[in-house]
Amino acid sequence: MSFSVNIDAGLMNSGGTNSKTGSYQLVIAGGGPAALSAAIYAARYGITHVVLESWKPGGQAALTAEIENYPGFSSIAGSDLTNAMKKQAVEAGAVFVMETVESTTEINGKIKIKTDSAEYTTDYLIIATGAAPATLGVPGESKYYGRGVSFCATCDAPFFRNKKAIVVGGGDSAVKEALHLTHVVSELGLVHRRDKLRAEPLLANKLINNEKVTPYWNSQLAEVVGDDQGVTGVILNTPDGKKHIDTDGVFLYVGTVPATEPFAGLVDLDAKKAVATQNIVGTSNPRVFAAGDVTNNGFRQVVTAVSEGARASAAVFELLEMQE
Amino acid sequence: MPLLSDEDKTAIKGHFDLMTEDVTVTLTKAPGECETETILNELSELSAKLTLEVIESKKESALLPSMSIGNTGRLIFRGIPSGYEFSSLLTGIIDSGRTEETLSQETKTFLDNLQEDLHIRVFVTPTCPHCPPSVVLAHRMAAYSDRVIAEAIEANEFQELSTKYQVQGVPRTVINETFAVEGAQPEAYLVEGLKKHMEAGL
Repeated sequence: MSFSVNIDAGLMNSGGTNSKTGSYQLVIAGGGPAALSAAIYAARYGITHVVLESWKPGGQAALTAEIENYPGFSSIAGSDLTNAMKKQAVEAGAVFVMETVESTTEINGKIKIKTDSAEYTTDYLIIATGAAPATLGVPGESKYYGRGVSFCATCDAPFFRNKKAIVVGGGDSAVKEALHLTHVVSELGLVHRRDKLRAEPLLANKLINNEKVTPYWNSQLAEVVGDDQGVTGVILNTPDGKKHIDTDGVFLYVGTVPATEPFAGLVDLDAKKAVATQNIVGTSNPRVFAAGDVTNNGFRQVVTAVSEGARASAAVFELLEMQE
Repeated sequence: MPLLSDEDKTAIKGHFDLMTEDVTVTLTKAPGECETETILNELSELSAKLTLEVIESKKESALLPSMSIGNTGRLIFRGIPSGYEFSSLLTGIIDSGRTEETLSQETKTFLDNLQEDLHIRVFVTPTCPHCPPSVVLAHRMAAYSDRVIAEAIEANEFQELSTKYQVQGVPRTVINETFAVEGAQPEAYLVEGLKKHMEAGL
């Protein structure tokens, strides 16, 4: 039997009165690949900084069962990859606290950041807070969250061993997590509003050819139904009308919502509330940079997030050098 | 064959160096081999400040194996501490072995003013990256206040408890049977939610 352990130094060093309240050259907001990459570069550049990694370390990437397109790894668990990044950052001297940004303002050329437990002042800010799973807002979705409705197959798949589940979505995340679920569940429904998956063809074909999978094309989730024990089924809008399917679990991968609320007054956002970037990592505010899924840069991959994180810290380093 | 790699051991030793006080972990288990005991034995060899005590229960119990960190009996783990739960266990041990304060003033004030006991059960899985912060917060609250008992429960291993507390997703934090929170909650948000719930009559 394989036995693996996770040793998270950031967790041990976190805590209310351990917060690093104070003034810095750079604050990095976020805990996923973009923030971790920014942290590695910031630490190596010798920039005084703190990383506000929130209460969801590793971001969305950590919740991905297997990542097969990150160069250097044919297949790696998302959490293993983000753990390795964080370990590298800590070894380089990066400082992490487990705090979530609540609001930001700019006063006299300094950015003030309020978190759930502390306040920071910084010359520069890198927004790398990523995105949260989008919800559909259909009846039963929030009622049964944690009781059959899930956004994390990696975390919750064991509850559905030899049971029925459905995945809603057709992008890379939906297909990767659906593939993960096929190892556990007895039957898997795949509900997609189009007649073809958007995910990369290699993964999509693998999923569709799995004998446990039943696709429901051109269909949408209309309602999650259940009882006192949790989810018992879903109602779909299909081309043939409403259809009830028995299921124990509903896994939702219907897009993401950028985590930009605390930064709304600080930088321009696009219509979808993503940080509107200029030259990849710049923003409308010369003291603020952005990287990863929180931006409107489009291609949302770990490989692009880490690239943007590195660019953002490099940009801050150049600006600090110019000031000297 | 050891469960911890040499690389893991080196990293853990570095963290154990943060401890200034002795810590005892008490394992209560059913008779026979137990992977949790193996890993705790390996851990206790990494620091002179960490002692393992093993109690072999004479009767079968659905709640074993369980670990208690420190001498209060209020910081409890149920299940094999593998994957992400290992970092929760390590953090619990290290927190108990140092005097550094780990909770915000607001949380401490809330705990100081508690008029009733809180039993916090945090259900987790080893593959859940968002679970350790919830466990660590609950244990820190239990370490601070003798009105709080905090249990981390590996949901797959303790199916009866998972069924009883309707766990189908993790982390799920259940407090005094009546208040449940899904997902990882920042300290301030959990305390705020608890306050509101208690005002309404927990």
